[in-house]
Amino acid sequence: LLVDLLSVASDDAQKVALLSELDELGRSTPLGPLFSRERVGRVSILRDAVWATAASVGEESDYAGFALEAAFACYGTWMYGLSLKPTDRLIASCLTGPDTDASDGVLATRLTFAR
Amino acid sequence: VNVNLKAIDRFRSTMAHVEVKDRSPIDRVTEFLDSEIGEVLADAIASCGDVRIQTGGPLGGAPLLKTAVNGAPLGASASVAYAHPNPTMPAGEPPVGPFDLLVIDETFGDESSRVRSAVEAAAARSSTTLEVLAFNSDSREAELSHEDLGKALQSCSSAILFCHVNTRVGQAPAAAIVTGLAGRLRVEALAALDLRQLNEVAVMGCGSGRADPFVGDVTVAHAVAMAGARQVLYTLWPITASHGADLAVALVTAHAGGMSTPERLAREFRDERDKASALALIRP
Repeated sequence: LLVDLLSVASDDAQKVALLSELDELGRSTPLGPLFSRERVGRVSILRDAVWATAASVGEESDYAGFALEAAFACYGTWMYGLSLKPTDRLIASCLTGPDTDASDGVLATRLTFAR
Repeated sequence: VNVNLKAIDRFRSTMAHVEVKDRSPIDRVTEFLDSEIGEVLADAIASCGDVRIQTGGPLGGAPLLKTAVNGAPLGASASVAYAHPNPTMPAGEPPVGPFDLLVIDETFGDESSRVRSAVEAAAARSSTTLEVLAFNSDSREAELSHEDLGKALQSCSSAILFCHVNTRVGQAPAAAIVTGLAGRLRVEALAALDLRQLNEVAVMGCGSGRADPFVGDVTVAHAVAMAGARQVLYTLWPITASHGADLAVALVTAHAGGMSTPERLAREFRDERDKASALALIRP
């Protein structure tokens, strides 16, 4: 349900809240041993929702940095059972598209800098 | 920073019209990255301390390591590495010195012999006690016991593995070190070992760190890192036995000469950019 909600969320604050909720769910659920079929099966449910959500937060948004931190924390929790943190600065690259800003509808690569 | 969308479209269009036999995808991606992304990365690196690049897709950071930044491939800097998956791992100087464990699959014949000779000679020169686990994955009588491998990995300080590694797209948990005809030491068992004493491990096997396109970093290299190894050298794609042996011998020689793995890898990227495309390093 959370993954589905991430795919339709339009508000940046809501996206960060949903990522945090997903992180919390991972922390409070026995996901299985590291790299086991059981755990990887659960991680696969996330598809690319974590990174796609972080990349969909506008780079000028006040929530850009928080979204990236929440995405790293969430992925770390589900994959490794540890909270990952980006370094002070981070470049996130994600294929998005069709890009809504591009009139010719080509796929866009966006690089986001965040603290 | 928004990258020039027209340039990306031009790149895609160019790729679509190239004859399959003439395609060399990584080189073409690198040409594109050189001209469009190199400058962006140079600006970011100049203005920041640490920069972390989160890449998407099965190729991951491979093309980026070959991208020219300030006139040299990004991978030619010894301070570039794939971030360690375990954030609690303490940073420190990269280890230098002879390997004290060699795990070698003799199925590669002369190439296996070449690697073994180099590792044994380096250990002998520095009076290091070397443990050798030799096996043959093509012989039912010469398989490697998982118990022996686990014990050896948990009692050495630096190890080099020259063997087959299995990775299956879409079956990430099946990634494993091949120990025999049917023997597979899978990532789940590797991650459960206690390898906190292991300063460095080089896993010279096909795609030992190749991320799964669906779930990400479920690999032999990442399992070893999560088990506590501080620094892991791995491959992103299948490699030939001779290429793997070349690199293994070069690595052993570099260590004997006081050069660390990051420095040796940086030299590989600087001097042999085309050959180095399949290699990467995990470290804190």
